[in-house]
Amino acid sequence: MIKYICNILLGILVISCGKTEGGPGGGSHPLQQEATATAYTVRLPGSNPEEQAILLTQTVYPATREDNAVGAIILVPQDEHIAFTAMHRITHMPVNAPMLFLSEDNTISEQTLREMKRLKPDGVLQDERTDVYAVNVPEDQVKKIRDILAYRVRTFYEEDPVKLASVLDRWQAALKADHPDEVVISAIDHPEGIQHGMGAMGWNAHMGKGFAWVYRDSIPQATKDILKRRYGDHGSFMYLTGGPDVISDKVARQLGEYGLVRRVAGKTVFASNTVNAGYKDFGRNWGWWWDWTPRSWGWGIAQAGHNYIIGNPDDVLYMIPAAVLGHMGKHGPILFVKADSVPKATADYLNMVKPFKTGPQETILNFAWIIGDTTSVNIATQQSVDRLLSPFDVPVDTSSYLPDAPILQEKKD
Amino acid sequence: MKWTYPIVAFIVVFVLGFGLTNLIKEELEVSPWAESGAEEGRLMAHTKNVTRLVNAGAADLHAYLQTAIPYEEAKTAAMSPSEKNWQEFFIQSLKVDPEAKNVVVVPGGGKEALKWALPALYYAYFNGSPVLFYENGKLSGNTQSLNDKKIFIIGSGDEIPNLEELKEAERITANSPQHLALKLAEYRDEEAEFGWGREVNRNNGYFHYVLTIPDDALLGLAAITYARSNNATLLYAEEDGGISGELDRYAFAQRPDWFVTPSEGPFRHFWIVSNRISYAAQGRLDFAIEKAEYASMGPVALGDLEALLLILVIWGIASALFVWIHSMYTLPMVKMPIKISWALASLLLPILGPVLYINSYRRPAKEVEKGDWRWIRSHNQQSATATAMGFGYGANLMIVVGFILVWFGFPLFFGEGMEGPFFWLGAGMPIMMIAMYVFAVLIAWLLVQYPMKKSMMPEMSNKQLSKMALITTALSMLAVSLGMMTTSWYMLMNKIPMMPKEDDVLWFASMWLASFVGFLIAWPINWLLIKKHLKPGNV
Repeated sequence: MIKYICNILLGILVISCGKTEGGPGGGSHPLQQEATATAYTVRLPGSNPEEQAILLTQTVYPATREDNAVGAIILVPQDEHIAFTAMHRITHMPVNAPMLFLSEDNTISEQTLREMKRLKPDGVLQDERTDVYAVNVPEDQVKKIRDILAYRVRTFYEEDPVKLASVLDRWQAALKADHPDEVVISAIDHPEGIQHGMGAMGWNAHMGKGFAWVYRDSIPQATKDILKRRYGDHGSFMYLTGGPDVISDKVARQLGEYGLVRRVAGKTVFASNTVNAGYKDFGRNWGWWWDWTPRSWGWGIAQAGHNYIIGNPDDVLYMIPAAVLGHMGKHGPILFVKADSVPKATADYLNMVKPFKTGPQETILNFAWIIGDTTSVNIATQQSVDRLLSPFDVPVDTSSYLPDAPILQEKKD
Repeated sequence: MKWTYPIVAFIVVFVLGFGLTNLIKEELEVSPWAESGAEEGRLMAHTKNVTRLVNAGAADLHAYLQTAIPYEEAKTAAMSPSEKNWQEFFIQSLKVDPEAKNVVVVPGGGKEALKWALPALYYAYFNGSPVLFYENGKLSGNTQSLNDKKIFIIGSGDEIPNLEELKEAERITANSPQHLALKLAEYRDEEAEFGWGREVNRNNGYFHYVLTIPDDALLGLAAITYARSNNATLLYAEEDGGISGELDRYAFAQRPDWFVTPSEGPFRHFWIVSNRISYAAQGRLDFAIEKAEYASMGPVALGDLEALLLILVIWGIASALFVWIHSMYTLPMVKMPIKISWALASLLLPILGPVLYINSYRRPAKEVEKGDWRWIRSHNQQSATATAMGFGYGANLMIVVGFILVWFGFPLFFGEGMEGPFFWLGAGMPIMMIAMYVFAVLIAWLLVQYPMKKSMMPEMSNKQLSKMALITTALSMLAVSLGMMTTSWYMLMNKIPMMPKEDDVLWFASMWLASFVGFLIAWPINWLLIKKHLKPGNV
């Protein structure tokens, strides 16, 4: 009798473990042909922000079990500043949330709603098991999520991104019972303020540090409030994304009142993001008697063996949700290329981190995600990136890095 | 009031039992959501750790990869591989390294031979090893290449006989192509420089794998360029599109850990080239090689710290069972509430609980009233007993309250009014700690300490008893909390990089450890309570 009971229990156990066989996984997928893979890159070929965001969630979260589904979902309108602020502060653990967009008419499209259903959020245990963080999402759309998907939704309504950063800072502090002392600061009124700070936003999606906005020549009150919340003699550790042309020296000096100020900046948006990828600041933060915590900010990647998220700086709404690739999987910083070429700053950086040939047991390889379809980053650029990432030599002829232009070698009439 | 004790014990056993059972269930499940919509609406097949090369056959895949991987170093033959020409395709693709220290002998012929040969062909192509095919009783190619090199015969075991020229050879065989591929993935002969050597202890390699099924071995051959471009090892899934337990085990063994941030290397990657491999299998592999922090190694896998702390939980359960069974059979003079208390205390005090229990009752005893026994104990032992009496119920109740809060989610308060030095009071963890203490004190006071004191001091008024029970419960559990809360904060908020959830063994194990520390802190404080005669220590 005992033997039979044991057999039945064992059988139930084995059956309950589940199985991995099933229908062919390589079935038809509408964008599979566009999702070109090379040896070291894979393209996620979105042709609009909504589609790009869905491709990203599908890549990162297979959702075949609770552990590879999401903790929650960020839902935002297609507003660059709002999305940028939300991705900075919400994505990281313990929330574990990718970003999805509303349609241009501020409604949830059928495709996005279905993706939200597929993602099956586990709910953030530190926050009342919240499934969706809806930032400036119209109330009727929030109701739709609650009614149709039965998800728990936390809403944030703040049209001013500067103040939104402050609200999210308070929320994050409560979530973690702490204010992270490292604060990324970007310029809201500079046309390339977001692009200069994109890599730093990727770091925050990866590590969950603080974020605030400034104006090019002044500091808003909400940002001062954020910085004052940091305790200790040092105050905040601030990382300004962009040079003096993006955030003025005057603002940098004024920020010094709240703590230590550093710039993560290059002359172009391409350079700013390669600087960000290689940047590391560490040192003293907080200590008393038997315990101490250093400050530690930045990827600090200057050697082979890493992953990159590569896209076009003009595609801001494509790149913001792509930071989720730095949060899960192979992680890694964001870099920019042009649609038809790899700019020198990016190529130089990738040459620095180029791997080398190794044995079968100590293999070292790079990898990259290409964000957007071929209008964002064309095939030749993807191949150029692939070669830069590879352990193979880059040919002396670097014509593939040149944009299409009339050849100069021949005299024109 | 005797019913209250088993009720409390039942609540503890039920809630913690449910939590641990749920944990085991979730760890054992493979891809439970794969057939309930996980694949619906997918726009493309890639996932973050698995790239899927959907193709229309070997020729299509080969043509695609010739464009996608154009490197001279990883070039393959211009012809498309087929079941008829696969040997020729390989020979034309192979760039033999004259300094290679090994020669590979594999079966030649039809499709069946390719299944067995392919895992070895991947290594040979990567390493530049000469390859000989055995077909129709003889070896193909130049057997002179065998000179001064170690020969490896790869196959099913009986396909290639013991030929004269192969008598020094080393055979690597398995009972299926899947097993053979796994064997080669782990095998390494350092002297002969043969085999991938990708075992669990190779923590630093950025290992890539090409995955197909034996019936689609030709697709694997078409993708052999990855063996050079990405140093990729060939592995096989099952013919039904799923993955075997052995492959599952191997993939989890390859899950990389991180120490500082997850952006540090290495990472691992699968390239699926067979359309027939299921989405459930892809999801499982993607999950298996997802990076995880060293402490826990993520869900399903067992991290070092996790394993160490898990011992506490398992020994705790064993200790509780021992004390319960032992006391039921050998100590009829001990009252039921005391027995329950010792068993529950031992649950959280592995080894120490049973030691204190045995030490408490292997002593002279006297019956002070009919059925009411007292044991003669040292002051220290009395303190330990008194601590265990409150701790057994109290600490377990605190964990129960904590688990319920984690299960349903912490409340969170972050309004503008919460700004300032006490903002952290709105956070989940402090709220959990306060709730754990308050609810556990209330339950232990009403259902345990009050009836216990009433049975021991029937002459005292209910009001006095109630007050005394509340004070001693609150004080005793405050003492436990001092150690328990600080340790749980340290573990959950500081030591472990990602705060564990309700389905993570580290959550339970941290609570066990915190309780243990709580007991050690409360023990000397109970020493004072015994001295002041506020608690009995000889029951």
